[in-house]
Amino acid sequence: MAASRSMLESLLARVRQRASEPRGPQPALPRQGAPAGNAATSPPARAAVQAAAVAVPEEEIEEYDDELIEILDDDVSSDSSPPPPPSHETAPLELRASAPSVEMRRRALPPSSPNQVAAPRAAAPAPAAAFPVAMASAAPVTAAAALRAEVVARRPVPSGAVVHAQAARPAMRSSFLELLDASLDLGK
Amino acid sequence: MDTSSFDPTRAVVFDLSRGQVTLQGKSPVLVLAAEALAQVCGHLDAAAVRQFGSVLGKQAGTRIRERLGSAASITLEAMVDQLGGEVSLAGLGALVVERWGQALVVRIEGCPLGAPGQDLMSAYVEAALQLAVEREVTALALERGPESFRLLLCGKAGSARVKGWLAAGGSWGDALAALHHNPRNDVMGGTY
Repeated sequence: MAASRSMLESLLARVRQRASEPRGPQPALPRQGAPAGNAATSPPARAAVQAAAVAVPEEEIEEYDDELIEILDDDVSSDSSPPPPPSHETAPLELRASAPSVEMRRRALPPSSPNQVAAPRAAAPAPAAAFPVAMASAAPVTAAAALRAEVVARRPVPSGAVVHAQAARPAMRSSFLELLDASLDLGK
Repeated sequence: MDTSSFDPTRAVVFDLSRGQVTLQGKSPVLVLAAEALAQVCGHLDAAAVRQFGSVLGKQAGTRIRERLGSAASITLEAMVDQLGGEVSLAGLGALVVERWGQALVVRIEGCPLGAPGQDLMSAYVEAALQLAVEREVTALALERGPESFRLLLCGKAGSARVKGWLAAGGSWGDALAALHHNPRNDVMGGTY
């Protein structure tokens, strides 16, 4: 800390010395928000006025920016100004939000990925017709589509192929052979 | 919800490169206009039509037997599913089984072959059941309507009696009732 203070003091002395030296004319810098053409016909905007007010000190300090940064980097425990965030931390902040989707896309795209093999395998087993709705809600979109393709193939037969009875139908306890034999025995 | 035990998945396979159509990849079949086949059947006698239907029924019965295995535990619903599925796949109509007391009656709707279709389907059902469940069945034509016809599944004795009652002018419903009520009451003249 002591070394840093001495360096700051020497730097301040150099600044004062530099400020006391006579200066030549400097070219006017173009300023944002105050074009030259508009200056005569319209009042400058508030932002342009503020920029002009702080322009002179900035020009003076710009020459020592590098040195100040070096001094501040040496003084890690300084509380006067927070350390500037490392440049590499800004990039992850932007990537963090989109990182999961990027990763998911990367896994889904390759045809040889095990994820793509697993999805059809979950949809491939021929399920009973009573299950398609439950399976479709739990499966991915592609599996649900395949499952739908599988549900259309197994829909019940047309309503014509059913058993009709004249009155209340008795319980079907007999097998087809027993019923057929009873029918064949009629008229004997 | 009850669903059919007949699975039509890939029942008909079109091999366009070889120009062939097969049932379940085995039996070659033809896809042709029903009207053309109806005209051919219309020019054949009943015996030839029945022989044609018998060939079709045997193939269907063989497939049903292969799918169901043992016939002992087959339910009526399962047989309707299987036999009706075969008939539907062939485009021969929609098959329904009716129970009139003990009598089993097959009703087929929408057969596109016209009048010869009844003879053809009678032989079809007889042959299919003979192959599927090993029973000698007579599928006797009971009634014919504009859109459907009925076939009674009976034995030779029952078939002879019902034929006699129908020839005497009795309705098929009365014949079925008499078949249950007193089968010995079929004296000459058809009184019952």
